[in-house]
Amino acid sequence: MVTMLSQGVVRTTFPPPIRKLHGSMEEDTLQEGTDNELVRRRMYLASIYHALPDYGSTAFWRAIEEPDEKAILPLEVLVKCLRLAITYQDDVGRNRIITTIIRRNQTSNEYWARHTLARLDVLPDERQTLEHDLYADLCESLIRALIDTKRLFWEEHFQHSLSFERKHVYQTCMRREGRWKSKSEHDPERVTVARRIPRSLIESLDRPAPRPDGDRQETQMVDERAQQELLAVEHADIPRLILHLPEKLKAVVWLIFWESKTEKEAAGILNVSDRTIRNRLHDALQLLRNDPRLKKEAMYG
Amino acid sequence: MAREYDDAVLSITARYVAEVRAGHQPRLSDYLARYPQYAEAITDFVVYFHAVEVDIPAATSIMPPLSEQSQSALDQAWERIASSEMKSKHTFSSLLQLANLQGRSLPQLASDTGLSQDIIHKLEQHVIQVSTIPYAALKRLAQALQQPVGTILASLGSIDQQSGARSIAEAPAGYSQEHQPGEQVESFREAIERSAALNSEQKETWFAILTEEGI
Repeated sequence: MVTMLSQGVVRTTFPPPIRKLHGSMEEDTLQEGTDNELVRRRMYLASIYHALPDYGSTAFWRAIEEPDEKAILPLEVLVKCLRLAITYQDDVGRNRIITTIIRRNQTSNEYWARHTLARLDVLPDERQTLEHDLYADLCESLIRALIDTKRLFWEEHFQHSLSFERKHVYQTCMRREGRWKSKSEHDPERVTVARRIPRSLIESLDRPAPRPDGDRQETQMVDERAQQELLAVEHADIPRLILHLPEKLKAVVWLIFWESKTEKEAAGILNVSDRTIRNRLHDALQLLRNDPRLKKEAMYG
Repeated sequence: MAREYDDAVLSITARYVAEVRAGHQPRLSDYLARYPQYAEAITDFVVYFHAVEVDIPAATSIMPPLSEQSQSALDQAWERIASSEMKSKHTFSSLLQLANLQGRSLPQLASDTGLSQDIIHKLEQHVIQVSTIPYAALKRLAQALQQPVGTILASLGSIDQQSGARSIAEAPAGYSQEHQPGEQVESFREAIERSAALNSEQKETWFAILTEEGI
């Protein structure tokens, strides 16, 4: 990788690219193309960083804080500058750059905080407080990530790193609020996020859950009917619908309802048995069926 | 290891997102088949991405002044960070915990510092009087673990909690140590003398350092 140790000093070493376990020649070519693109991007970022005026000079701060719209510094370069400030133990400079980064992203982050909580069933006052807490959580998490000089990915892919950080913050916030399903949480009452789903689906999902040792045929019928109804959900709504499911269940629902894979194909992709797929699908449908918000929507439409 | 895992997931999902942004329709199943070891983390991100991130505007090229909401969130974030930093200053880790944080094993730490594993073990157990440890040894430990000398002293159970952030230049005096009844405590010199792992040349080096520091 290109590691800019300080201005004028560049170390170029590349970590081994992540290799897939199974792949074709076409995929190898794709991988090679991606690696080349990454190398080009690193060189591009390094060139911009090296062209900056001396650290701490007036010209330097002008480049950081008063950019020309046509020559605005990539956020990745700002992260490098921030870490340079840390190396120089310049806390004031560090904080100035952090503020700049927050300013550059505030429209996006404010939108994110509003958007992610938009479907939450809470009172307006509570929503405002929650939104503020969520945004403050994000700022805290962002600052911690930016000042952690070992997190090099921020210096290469700021936007993607930010998306990941937001995912982490969102999940943490939802867990804290008792609105997120983790692997060990199988209490359906904990999922309380509202989603728009056709009434027919709710009616189907609202049928009694089959007994664990009950009539297998009946179980299959109920699940098959629920599956049919789930297929009728607006395609774009599926991610939001399954967002709070445990990871293992998410993958199964995604493969079957988003990618239209068969149970057998899903089993092959996830390297589990057909029976496991059916069980996970059943668990996922049960969680969705028992969602109190979904029940409410079923009653009032 | 966790960092490598995270970086791998970041790289893979970045590629997925790049495909989406380029107008393609990448399939999660392809990624799961190619990277089964990261299946759950990839699925977790991909679902979140399509549910939340896909419609969020990217960072702007203009720099509006900080909004009231952003300023308030930023202030709160700084307060929390300052508060947790204060707490961490008063949280003492053992030598081996610090070594773990740096990805260093006990033999590596011994090798880095010129001390032997049995000495490190004794330091970890707090059975060496801290006031008898030469500053050179503390400094080597600090360098190997990338920590201030004050943190090293704290990890040896040698300073009270209020003086946790003591200066490197401060003389290592006024230590206090608590030991269980019957626990045998020895000086650094005695520990060197009794070490079965240090050779005579290494021992001589440490004796010279002790003499030089007047211990």
